[in-house]
Amino acid sequence: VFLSKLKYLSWDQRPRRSLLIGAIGAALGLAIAGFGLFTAAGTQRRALPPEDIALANQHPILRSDYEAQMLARFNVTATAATPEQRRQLLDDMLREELFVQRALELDEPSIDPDARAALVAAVQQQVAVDATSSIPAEAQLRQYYQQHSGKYSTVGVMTLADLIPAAALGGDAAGMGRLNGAVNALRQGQSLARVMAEYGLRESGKMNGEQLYFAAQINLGEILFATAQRMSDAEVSAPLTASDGWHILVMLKNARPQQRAFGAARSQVYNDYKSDLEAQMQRSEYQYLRDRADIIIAPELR
Amino acid sequence: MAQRSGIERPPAARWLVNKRHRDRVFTLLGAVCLLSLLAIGLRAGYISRMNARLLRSWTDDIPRSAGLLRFAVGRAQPIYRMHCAGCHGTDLAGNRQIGAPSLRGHYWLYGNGTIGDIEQTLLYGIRSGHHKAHSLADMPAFATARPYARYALSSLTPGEVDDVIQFLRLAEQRPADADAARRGYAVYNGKAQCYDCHTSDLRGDNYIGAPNLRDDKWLYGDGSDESLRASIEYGRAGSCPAWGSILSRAAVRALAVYIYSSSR
Repeated sequence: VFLSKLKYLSWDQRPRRSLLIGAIGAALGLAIAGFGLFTAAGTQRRALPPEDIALANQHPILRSDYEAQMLARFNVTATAATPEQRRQLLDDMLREELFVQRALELDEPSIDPDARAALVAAVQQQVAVDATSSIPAEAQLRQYYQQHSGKYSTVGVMTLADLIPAAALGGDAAGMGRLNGAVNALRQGQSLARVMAEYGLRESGKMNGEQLYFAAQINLGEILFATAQRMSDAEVSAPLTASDGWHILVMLKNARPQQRAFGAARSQVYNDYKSDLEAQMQRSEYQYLRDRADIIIAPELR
Repeated sequence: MAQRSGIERPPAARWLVNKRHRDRVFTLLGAVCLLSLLAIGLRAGYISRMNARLLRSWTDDIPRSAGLLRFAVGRAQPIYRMHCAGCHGTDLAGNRQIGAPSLRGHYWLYGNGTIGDIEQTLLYGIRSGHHKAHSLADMPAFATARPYARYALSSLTPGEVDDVIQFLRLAEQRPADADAARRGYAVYNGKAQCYDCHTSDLRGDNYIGAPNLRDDKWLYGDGSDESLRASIEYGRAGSCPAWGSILSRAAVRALAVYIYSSSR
């Protein structure tokens, strides 16, 4: 029954069938072309797109932004807002949009420092959007981790006694002998307190309990830290001279930096990977802009 | 014809040689094509109409419409699998190894879990670089010389980190060293300025994405001393792309509705 109803398409009636198929094809083509033409980006729109609350000179004001601002400003949802609140917020958003458009017409962004900074940030973000929105594969992260393994280690921690003479030490052999004696006594296992009392030494106060490597470096200074970080647990240094006089270092515990496993450092690797990628894209963009720009530089700076 | 060419045709071809049969086949094929086109057009029209309805609705009205909810969830599921499941898991349970939060519970790192809040996060992301992204604070790396890039903060010694861990254990009502916890409390509210984001009562701040430290839910790790130490010493700064520049508005809203409905 169905097939007999479709007799207009019967193979016997070629002219009518051809005409009908041609007409359907033409109508479909026109519909597709019309849809493409009237919905293409940049097209003058008369109807309001469903995601927008308003169009101001064809610039959309997003419905989601409107709702977020309603909550931020009046602490009510858009459905709970009064008609007055809705009108007021819409009016404010339209006002802002129109003023922004006017500012662009007047080229205000090029002279206002805040606007310039915001524009630079916006372009940087736009340039890096592919990097920020991409999710790196696990293999890429592992490769990055291996290439930058030095960045992913634990911070070294040392507990160290930094001994200095309690009173001014003469530069003579007797003074040096006293220091060497203290070193030998410590190396033979005598207690720190006893050696300090017996040889007239005291703690410098630079080290207070456990210290992270970077803190120890700041507190001890480069010369003493360079020796300290090579020392093992319970090791006693030879007398060392620094800008403020003689020191004996007694390493109580030295936990050197350790490589962190990929799993433990993964979140940091992920952030670093993306940051590097963004920076790389921003550098490329700057290079591209530089290359195509017509720049004239003062002779003294060339 | 078969006799003329000397080739034996298969039965189906012999059947098609008959003009009447052939006409029927072509008519049927034409009808199928037309009906398919009609079905595709109707389906596209329905999707377009529902997308427009979804976008035009106020976000807190959407849950009240079962049809809209069903449409959004159906539309969002393949998008979620393609774009979100990699981090948040196919079952939306999250991944604590990378700090991707679970999207199934009532706990929200940013906002209160309304469709509008979720949509804002999806549109602009978290630390995505978008100027509307959630990006007000990071977890400082206290075991580094410069723990925080945004403002000056002091590093913590290993002992101070231990004390803070004991304080956090106590706050969660787990066994802890009371003396160390007391010292940790002082560090939390003093030198480390933890209270600034996690608040003085440790309940966190969902405006800036600072997690609650008093419950048993963990964004990173399992709440062990080791994972707490890793967070305090090396910092955290999870991110989520700004999907608004990748997906259509309708897709983003459908995703927001899907996540919202999955969390209930």
